Amino acid sequence: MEIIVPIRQVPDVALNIRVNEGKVVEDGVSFVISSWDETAIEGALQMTEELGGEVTLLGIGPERVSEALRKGLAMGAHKAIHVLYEEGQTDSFGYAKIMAKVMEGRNYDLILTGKQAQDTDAGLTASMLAEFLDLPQVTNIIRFSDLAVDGMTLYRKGDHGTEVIGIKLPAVVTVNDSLNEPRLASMRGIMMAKKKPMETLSPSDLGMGAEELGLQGSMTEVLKFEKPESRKEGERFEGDETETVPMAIQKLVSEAKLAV
Amino acid sequence: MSSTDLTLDEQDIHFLLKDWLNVSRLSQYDSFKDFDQETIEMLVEEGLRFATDVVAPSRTESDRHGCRMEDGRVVTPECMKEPYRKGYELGWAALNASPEYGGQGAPASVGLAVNEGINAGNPGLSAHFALTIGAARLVESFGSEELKAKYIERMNRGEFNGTMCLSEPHAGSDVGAGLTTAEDAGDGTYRIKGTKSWISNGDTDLAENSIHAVLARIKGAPEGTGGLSLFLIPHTLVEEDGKLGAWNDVTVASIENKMGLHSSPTAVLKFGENDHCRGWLLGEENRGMSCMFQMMNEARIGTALIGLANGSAAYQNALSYARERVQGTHISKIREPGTPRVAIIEHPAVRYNLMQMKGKVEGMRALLYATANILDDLECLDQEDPLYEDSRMLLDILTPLCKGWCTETGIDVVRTAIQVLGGVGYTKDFPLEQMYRDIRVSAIYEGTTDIQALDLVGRKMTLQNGALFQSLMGRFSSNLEKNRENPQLQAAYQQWEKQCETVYEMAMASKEVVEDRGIEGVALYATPFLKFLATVAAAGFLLEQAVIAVSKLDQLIAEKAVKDSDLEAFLENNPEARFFNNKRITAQNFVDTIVPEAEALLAGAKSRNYGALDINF
Ligand SMILES: Cc1cc2nc3c(=O)[nH]c(=O)nc-3n(C[C@H](O)[C@H](O)[C@H](O)COP(=O)(O)OP(=O)(O)OC[C@H]3O[C@@H](n4cnc5c(N)ncnc54)[C@H](O)[C@@H]3O)c2cc1C
Repeated sequence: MEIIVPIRQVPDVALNIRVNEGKVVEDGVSFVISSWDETAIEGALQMTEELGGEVTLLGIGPERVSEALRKGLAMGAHKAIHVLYEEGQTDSFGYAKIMAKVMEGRNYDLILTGKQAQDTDAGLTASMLAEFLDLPQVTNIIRFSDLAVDGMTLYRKGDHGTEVIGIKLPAVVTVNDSLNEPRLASMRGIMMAKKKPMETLSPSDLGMGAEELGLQGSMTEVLKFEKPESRKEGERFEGDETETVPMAIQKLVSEAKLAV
Repeated sequence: MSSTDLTLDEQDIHFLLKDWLNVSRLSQYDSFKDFDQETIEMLVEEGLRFATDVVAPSRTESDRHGCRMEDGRVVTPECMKEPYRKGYELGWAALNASPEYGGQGAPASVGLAVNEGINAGNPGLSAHFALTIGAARLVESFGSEELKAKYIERMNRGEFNGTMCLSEPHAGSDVGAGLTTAEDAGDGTYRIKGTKSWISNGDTDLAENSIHAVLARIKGAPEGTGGLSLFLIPHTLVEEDGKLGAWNDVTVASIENKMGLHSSPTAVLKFGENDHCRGWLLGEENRGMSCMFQMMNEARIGTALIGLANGSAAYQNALSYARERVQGTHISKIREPGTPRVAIIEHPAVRYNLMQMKGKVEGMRALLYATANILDDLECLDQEDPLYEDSRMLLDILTPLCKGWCTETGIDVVRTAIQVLGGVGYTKDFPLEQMYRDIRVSAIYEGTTDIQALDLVGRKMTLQNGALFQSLMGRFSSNLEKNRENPQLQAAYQQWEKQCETVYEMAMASKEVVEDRGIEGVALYATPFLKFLATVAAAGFLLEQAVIAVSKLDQLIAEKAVKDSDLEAFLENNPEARFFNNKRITAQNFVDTIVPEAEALLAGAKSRNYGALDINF
């Protein structure tokens, strides 16, 4: 089974993200693989471990994206494609277009990726890609079964239950983080990652011109970022609950205007 | 960052490996050809992630549950199983072990960085990993081909656990007083009899078998350490086909009820109670102590790491807490009505504590990583290369400094961290009280601090006519020569130069002290001298780092075209700039406050006070 996993590199949310003049400050920020995409890599690895075949990672972005790809290779993916892309702001439409170009002429049974990116939370790219490639798509899966090269059963999480869907391959599928617990890279995996093939392409290699890239190739534009207001400090009530509960209720009524 | 979870100072670790020590230069040598910069970075990142995500969650639970004995065997806390298994599966447990025997063959400095995380995550687990590698390496260096084939790989895979057995009830610091005996059985093995005490991981259910490296005296051998030989003694015999065979008459008599480090069982082992315990000689007869020193030297650096790892973790927790905890008003506004309460990090006294902790932690890291880096050089350099001998001498003199100073300093840092937290620091809701209990033993085992000081003053300073000490002083001089004119660090270098001179004078004065008061006059101040010399060495390394940091900062300021008027904001908001600037401040603070504190311990030596020898207790 040949699987392509598009991954996105995002700022590490464990760190304090700073915003300056409406832009995220990248200085000193460390970048990681978006967590849903890590889940997708793990899912793809499990599938190829069962059926054979290879996992190819696809990353689009500046030089630093190669680090994310290496990390995915260290987890066990077999090869990677890096579209070296420095065009700055690009929306889901723009990225999906590039991905569709990369897929042209490639052999794959499945495109598996995260249900959304950890930084934008947009959740649009995979669906657009499916549209461009004219492939079936299933989003937000929490499980798969009956794995075969031409199809499988997918379990899709909804608010009121789980949808069980049969799908024919090739297809585009996105994953929920409850699908699995991504493996940590092993030391041996890291040492081997360097020796695995990484293909670097530029947008012009893909036959894409300036009008298809960056803001020009996008349908939306982010005007600015605003930091959420920092939360006010909590208040602690000392004493036993016969005193503290009424005190807390009193506060909720007087300050938070809670109706009791 | 959190006041309870494990936070590792990845920025400092990466700076040391890349910008200061340039560890990737080792990739020009065959032994480390695969370790380029990118690989090293990823190894350290992922290794530290293993520490925070897999190891650290076991820390508190393993402390609360502890190890116990059941039917004569040790049962470890359940929560240890997963990090132990994953440590081997992912390769972090045997990072530095020989690739020839299934290890990962990473440079010592890279291993140290990953182990800093693992140790802070759970020092007992880290001890399991380190002792097993150390014992496997003894087999590699001194064992027959048969022993190598039988044991090493399985130890490097964690199937077999390794231990070091020196101590006995009557032989602690004085290893040479050991009573365990060995008798040639005539079939290539020895019959072993005796009791070893305090054996870390002397028995475990994490592995299938335990392989003990045991010092024992062959019948008729001389007394003292010169009569000790080293033996490999499996708990359960291993058959020719690798299957586990009969029990080898090693009884786990009991485990200690300790103050901390509850994830690591400390056992009393009885060898040959039924007269059928068999041991295999490692190395030559009566050369056991010098063979064992290979493992002890590694273990001394490993033990020093407990000080750094836990000290650093404690500092990070305290720093985070100091930012969150609101208490009192700022001292400069104390008389202004309606002044808001501030986070305690605003109080000068708390800042002083944080600064001391930061300096000591970075000083420990500098000393230890420099030492590991020398180990790497020794692995790569040709033995004929003059640099080889110099590096070996440096390693020998730095080892007791690392063990003696980093353990004591780590304890001190954790103590200060508890102080910063106030009352909650004393509770089990925060990890510091456990760290304080866990870290305490580091200054006791692997040779107490005083024994390290004796090793320094009595052996390392005098060996080869003082050549080891000269080699360290040589490193100080070249640092001074190269950097003393650095405009931003001139004052710090001047201060440090005086401290180096004092070290030299104190060392030279020891001859007079011997004449004046005998050797005990020198021994009396051996530990203060060790602490002083260690801080001077750490200061030198921190200054080297500061030189790099100020130049990187200048570069960054030029790159970003930062105007003078914006500099303050830049230093506050750009994490790299802040880091570089802090390096300079930390180095300056270290020579101005931390080295003098250690120097003051020698006040009695300077005034030739021998009260402790004169008094009738
Ligand atoms: C948790 C734990 C794990 C351990 N693990 C191991 C292990 O795996 N293997 C192993 O072999 N041992 C192990 N040990 C033993 C440890 O190495 C000894 O406890 C240590 O060497 C000190 O010996 P002792 O306890 O007999 O103290 P003593 O030697 O009795 O020392 C008591 C005090 O006297 C001082 N002292 C003794 N002699 C001198 C001297 N000549 N000059 C100056 N001061 C001196 C010491 O510094 C110390 O302050 C472990 C100990 C502990 C607590």
